[in-house]
Amino acid sequence: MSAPRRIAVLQIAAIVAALLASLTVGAAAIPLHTLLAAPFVGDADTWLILREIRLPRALLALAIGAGLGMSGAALQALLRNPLAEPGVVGISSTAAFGAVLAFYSGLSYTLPLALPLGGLAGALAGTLLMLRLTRGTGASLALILAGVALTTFASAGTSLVLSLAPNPYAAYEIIFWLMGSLADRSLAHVALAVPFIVVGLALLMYAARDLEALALGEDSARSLGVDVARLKLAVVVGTALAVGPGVAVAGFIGFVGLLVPHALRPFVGARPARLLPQCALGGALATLVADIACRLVPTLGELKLGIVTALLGAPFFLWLLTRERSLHA
Amino acid sequence: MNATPLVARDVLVTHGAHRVLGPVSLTLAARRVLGIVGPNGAGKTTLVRALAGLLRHAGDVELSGRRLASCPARERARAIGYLPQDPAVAWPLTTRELVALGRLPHGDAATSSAHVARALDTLGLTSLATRDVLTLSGGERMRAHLARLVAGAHPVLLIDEPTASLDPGYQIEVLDHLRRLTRDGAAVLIVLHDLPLAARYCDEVLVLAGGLAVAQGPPTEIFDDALLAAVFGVRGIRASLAGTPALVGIRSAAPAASMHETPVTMPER
Repeated sequence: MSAPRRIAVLQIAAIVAALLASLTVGAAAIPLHTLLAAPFVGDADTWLILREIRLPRALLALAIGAGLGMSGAALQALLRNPLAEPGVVGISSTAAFGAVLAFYSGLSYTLPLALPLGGLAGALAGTLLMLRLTRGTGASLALILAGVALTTFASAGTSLVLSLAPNPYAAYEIIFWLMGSLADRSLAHVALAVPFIVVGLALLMYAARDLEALALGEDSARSLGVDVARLKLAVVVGTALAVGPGVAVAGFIGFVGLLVPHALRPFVGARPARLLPQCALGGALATLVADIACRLVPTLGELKLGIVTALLGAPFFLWLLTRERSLHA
Repeated sequence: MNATPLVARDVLVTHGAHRVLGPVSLTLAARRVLGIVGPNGAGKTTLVRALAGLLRHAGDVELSGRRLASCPARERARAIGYLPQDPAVAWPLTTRELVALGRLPHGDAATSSAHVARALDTLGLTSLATRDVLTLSGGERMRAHLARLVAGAHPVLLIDEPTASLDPGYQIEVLDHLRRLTRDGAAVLIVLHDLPLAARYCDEVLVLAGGLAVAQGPPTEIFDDALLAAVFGVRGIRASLAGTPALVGIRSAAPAASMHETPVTMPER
């Protein structure tokens, strides 16, 4: 078995194990044998916990993580820059702003689909602006400045909406949601976000083959018959779909798209066609495990997933920056 | 015999109201090397990119009798192999993976392809096939890029300054390889800065200055002192190579009183 295939099998096995763990761990522990028997014996209590609490959480972790992991790898390939990631370049922030607008305007109460669509619109606008600001070159300085600009703008917009909130509880609710968490999500949230993410993953996978040629730069890729404009569009729309609706239902979960491709590259290589699907698996696994950790760490009130990924990811990002020489160029 | 691999008529590139290149006309014949020379900013890279279909331009480019503009991207990619100046590799690839990218227009980018193996062999890279390209020396890396072009089996090769960042030994090695490729039928266009190298390796040269072709023909006829002085501000040093006078070096155009115009003689090879 080739190395990449072995890694894929390992990742899938780890995901299955983490999935079982995710379904058993929580305020009410469900022993593994009870869990496995639940579908057969009609254990209503267990089934209720699974359906209403654990399963939505696990499914969202898998889908959102897969979206973040794969879009991180796709952005890194498109921009040919290892620092690219939905959170760092500001896409998650603009997605959050879009979702906050849908939430605050009351649209999402009358039309639940407005929430993921708001996130999608925000992510789409953010990705397009980011490409425009970096002029597609992916130079580190341009990339990070674009990220700063987009994040600042989106945060300011979000803060504006929060400061105008009619009652403090609404603001409070939005603040907690922004921190990124999968707690208290329902299957309705799954239905709102996951279909978008799946379409986004498919679109990014479709783009992966053409991304291969970008190893040689845009001119050479075009000379090899790749329609670079169409490729960019596919990555932009794919990333927005894979990230935006996830942010809308779970808030800001940063750095997964940065950490996962870097962790996997030494094992599966940097070629997008191989790396992207592996990063979907890796992102799903990492997010699921981080979400389990949120429940296991004994804090007063549950730890927020977004905080856990940021605490792990931000130092890594700093380390990457110290290694990035072209930043000074 | 097929139609001429590439014929360009009145290629004109403008940037707003500013004319960057042309009109330039040229013909690339099978088994021939056409060198493009000219001072910095003469429009050499612009010309290559226009011919490769990467730049919007006026005028006609025909590939074996077909208009480039009406060629689907895939077909154009199969016909023309293009190598930019200082080709970059954005992420770690093995030599074999890099070469396999050349098969992309043919729809079989598999690293196991026989075309890839043959291309690696042609450029003497078989033993470096599994090495990361970024760890290769400059000359080896350029050979890897050339192998990518070989794997693509393009009838037309457009190569922008392949020798720009190579030491003299590698420059000659790369140009020898390119010459060898023409024996398999390829029509090769290369941009060169080094006039003696251009004189030695090109069947024909086209001299660009200010976006216009100021001379075109065999290097022995083209590179006279009037042209070298007018375009490059240099004078040539000539020697007899294999019985024919050839440009072997250049020197400052400012005539120094103490210097005599004594032709250098070199042993024939």
